[in-house]
Amino acid sequence: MAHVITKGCIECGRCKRECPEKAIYQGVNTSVIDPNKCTDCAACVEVCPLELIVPDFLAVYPQ
Amino acid sequence: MTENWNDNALFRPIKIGTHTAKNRMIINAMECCDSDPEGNPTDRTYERYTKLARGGAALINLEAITVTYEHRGRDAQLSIMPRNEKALAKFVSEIKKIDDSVIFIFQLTHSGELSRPEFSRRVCVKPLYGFGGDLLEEEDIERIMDEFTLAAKIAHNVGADGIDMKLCHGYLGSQLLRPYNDRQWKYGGSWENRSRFAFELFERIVREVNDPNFVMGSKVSAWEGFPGGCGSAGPTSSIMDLTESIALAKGLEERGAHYILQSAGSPSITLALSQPDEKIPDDAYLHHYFSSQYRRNLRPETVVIGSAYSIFGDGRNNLQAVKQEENTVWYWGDKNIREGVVDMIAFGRQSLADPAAPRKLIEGKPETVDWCTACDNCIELRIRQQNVGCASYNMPYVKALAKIRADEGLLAAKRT
Repeated sequence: MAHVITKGCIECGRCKRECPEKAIYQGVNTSVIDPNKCTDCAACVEVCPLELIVPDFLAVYPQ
Repeated sequence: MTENWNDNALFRPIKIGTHTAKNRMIINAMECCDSDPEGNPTDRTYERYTKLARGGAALINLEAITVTYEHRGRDAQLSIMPRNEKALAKFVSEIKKIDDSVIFIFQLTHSGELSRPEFSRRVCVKPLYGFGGDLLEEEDIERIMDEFTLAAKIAHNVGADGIDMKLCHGYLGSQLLRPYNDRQWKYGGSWENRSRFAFELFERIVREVNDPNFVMGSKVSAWEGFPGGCGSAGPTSSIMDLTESIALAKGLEERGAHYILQSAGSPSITLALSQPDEKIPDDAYLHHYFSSQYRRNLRPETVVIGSAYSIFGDGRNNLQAVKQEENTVWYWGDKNIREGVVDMIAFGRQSLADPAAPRKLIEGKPETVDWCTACDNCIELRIRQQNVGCASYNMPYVKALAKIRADEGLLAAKRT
């Protein structure tokens, strides 16, 4: 289990700042959550202004 | 840093000319491209500055406001010409009603080679590779000086507390100052000629406004970071040499400048130097060096204002080798003021992320601040000539950026 950032990320960086595991990094034109570090705490979900972060089993547009 | 939050040097007042700044935090000029077609403030402009006036900063520098609509960098740029006088008077009056202790100054600019050919005329003092433009002649510069002087008088008439003559970031003021401007004319070649525009214009404005309470100063790029740019050792040199940068500040001081607003870089060329971003934040420390050099060389009463503080935020940044609690904006503001590196600090991108950041800091509530992530989404909106705001925290701007990226794709290059 992990969370993922779905299509449409504008790389605002708010999720990266909030992640206690430092699991979010810069991908190619999007931020990316490292599934090996993500603990599903959902801190990133709370701050994403476009509500693009979901548990991976709900992702419509996985990375 | 001091143990007691309230003893932070950021919260101490300071004199700027005959005015007293209530603390050491200012709002940097941020071009937000939301004027009406005449260059007057719109509802969005009012909304932004209303929030800033309530936000606790001691001084607000009205985003670079153009002295001419014939040459400008932004399609919807605020302007300061006779046609704007009435609207600007109302604007200043409304902002002053919110908090008349705020020192409200106008940053006056001419875009020169950064004027956008799509809607204005690009002009230059010497064609720069990748930019070009129609070559300005001496009579053109004299007309532009008239426009600046008139703009300063309008600023005074409408109730602004002062002006910031923009001599930075690659706009016309800095184009003239550069060693690269080695063209043999009245305004090029020797330092005496290259500094003539800045110095004579400053003298003219002081003389014609003729008000000792009118704050005068200038934002300057200590080093533009490319060969021949301001702060380099010669017209083709990549070597940093601050001799002329310091001479400029001292010359302005001799002519009545109350403050020098330090910056660096030219965002159309060296963006990350002007505005260190999340990926490469390290040049923020270079700004400390630049402001320290101004502070060391200027009179104690000339206020030195430092830039590039947004990157520090609450210490959750990408700067390495320093503890989070010793890498915050309040840590560096306090330390740099106490150690004589700078007198005040400027918030640029941070002022878009949270216009109330100064007030929240004064209240001892840094945890409530929406800290700038240095993502530069605001800059992308500016590059795309859209209304500019924080596209991380402010939803209309978040949605605008998401839509434009979906419709038009990614930017080819991040340069203003």
